[in-house]
Amino acid sequence: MYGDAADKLVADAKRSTQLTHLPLYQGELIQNIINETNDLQAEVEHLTNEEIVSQTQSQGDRTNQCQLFISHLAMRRNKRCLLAYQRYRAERLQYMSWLNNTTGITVDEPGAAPSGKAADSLNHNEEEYLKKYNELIINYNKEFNESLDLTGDIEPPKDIFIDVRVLKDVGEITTEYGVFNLTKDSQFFVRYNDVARLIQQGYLQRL
Amino acid sequence: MALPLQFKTSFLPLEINFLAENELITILPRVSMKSVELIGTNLPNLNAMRRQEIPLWLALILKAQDKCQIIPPIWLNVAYLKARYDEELEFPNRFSSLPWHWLELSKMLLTKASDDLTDAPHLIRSIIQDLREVRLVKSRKGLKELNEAYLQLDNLSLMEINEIRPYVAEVMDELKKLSDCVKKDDSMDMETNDYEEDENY
Amino acid sequence: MDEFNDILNEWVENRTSESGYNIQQAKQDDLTRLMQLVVNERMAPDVLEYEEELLERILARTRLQIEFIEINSLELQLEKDIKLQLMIVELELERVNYLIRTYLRTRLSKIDKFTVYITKNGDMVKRLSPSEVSYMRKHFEILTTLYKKQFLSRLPELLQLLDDTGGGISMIEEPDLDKPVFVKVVKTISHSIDVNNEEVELLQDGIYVLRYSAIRLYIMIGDIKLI
Repeated sequence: MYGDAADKLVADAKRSTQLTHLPLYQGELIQNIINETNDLQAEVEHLTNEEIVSQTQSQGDRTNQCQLFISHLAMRRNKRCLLAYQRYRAERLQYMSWLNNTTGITVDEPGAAPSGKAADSLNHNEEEYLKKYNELIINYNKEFNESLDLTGDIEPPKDIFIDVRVLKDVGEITTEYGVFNLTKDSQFFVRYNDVARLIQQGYLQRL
Repeated sequence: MALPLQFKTSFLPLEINFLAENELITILPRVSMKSVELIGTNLPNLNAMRRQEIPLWLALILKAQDKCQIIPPIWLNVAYLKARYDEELEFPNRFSSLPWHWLELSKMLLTKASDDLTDAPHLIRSIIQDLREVRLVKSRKGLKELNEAYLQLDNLSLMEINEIRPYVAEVMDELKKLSDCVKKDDSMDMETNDYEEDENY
Repeated sequence: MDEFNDILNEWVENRTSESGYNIQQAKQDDLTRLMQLVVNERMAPDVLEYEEELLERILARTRLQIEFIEINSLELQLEKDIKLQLMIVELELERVNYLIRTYLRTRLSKIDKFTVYITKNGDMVKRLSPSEVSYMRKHFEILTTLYKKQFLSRLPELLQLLDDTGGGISMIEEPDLDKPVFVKVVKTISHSIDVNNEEVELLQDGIYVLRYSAIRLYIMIGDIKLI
């Protein structure tokens, strides 16, 4: 049936709205859809020629006209599905860029292949797009103050400063607010960003 | 997309909270403090025991650092809230007048400045809960009156509005589609009638 | 002589406090306006006018704050007072950053959505800042390149357009100006509004849900605000 492959493609996009990682690019399915569409185009051209011929007769062939109509619709539908699929994926990539989450796409050495989960799901053109979009927002960002980073979380700031207790000796840390001597059992009121790592690693406990 | 989907139809409660934090509140400083120039305001010189109005977010920081006491707003006490509650019951077709950010402000003050309140926190929490419920029931009932043209919701607060926002928008759109269909049918009926009249004549 | 000094002092005090009050008020007004802009941009279906002057003023003030932070955090052992001041300045900076970030990204998101429509509408392009126009063009370029390379160029020629309006469905996405929005009336509107053959009075402090198109102009002049 015309449009089956396109349905599958759209279903894939719909499914990925629930996934945290973008699934594999459906290269084969897309090629099928493209082929189907081109076949439809050939059919349309054939039918149109027939129509021109049959117009000399008084009764136009309704079947032909119907077929023509359906083929046109099917072609357009395929196009819309392809665009919907790609646009959704492009939006996910944009979102990744804004969250500075391009891990797995960055190349470790010039000429080396990208590594990581994300790289596997994108095809070559999508990687290109991601790279270029990333550049685009970096440039846009430059127009504003340095400290005004437009990327990252878009939630209101909260808990910028927090109370922590030291669980294990860490030694001294230097922050904008001074030097803190993080000895066991001592408590401090510090900037979350300065100590986020240490909390994650279990040295500090957030109160 | 530059803006994730969840942000597109309404505000996150966190964002409404942020707006509420800009409300001015009165504090009683415990110590003196030098002024600080800020972007959206200036924190003036603070003198111990001299009242000052500052944004809530700033007041909460100073309170956390033990630099001040917060003077609760005039509406944040059992008597005032109970009076509003009685009003809600007495006038079932409208909402009593409460401050724009009453829910967010009361929550923040109950959490971070409960010792500065004039009544016991648990009593205030209780009456707030009652108020919230009675207003929620009322707004749900009011939505039944929803027509596709407009809706009037005087005296609802921002948080309460935000909660029903997606629902209202969707329903109004559906109603519009229905009424558009009806209009089309009506005009079609009129055409048929004309034709019939001509025929009979 | 004392009396004269008293009068002079009083006059000086009044002058200072008056101008001090004005700056304070100006800052608060700007912040309030920025918050309203964020609300407006989030709730309105179309892209609104870019408020360049306001943004510039606020960005200028943020630069001063950044300088303050840099100067004062150089010393390793800070006095307690400066510590608290620094903390307050940093906190507020984060808050203002957040507002600007939301404002700009909300706009970009809508610009992306309506790129084709905006490009065909000179009026709408005027509402964008130069940076936004540049972003819009460049993004459209790389996005269409993606489509072309992935499949579009391999489709029959007549399907290769991205602003196709044939086949009964237009590809050009338009802002839905009839979207219902929540508003609060700042100043009573002198004449009633016709909403679907119903006359609605818009009174001060009233909260209404109306179609955006019906009250768009009032929002622009500030008699009604989005909430």
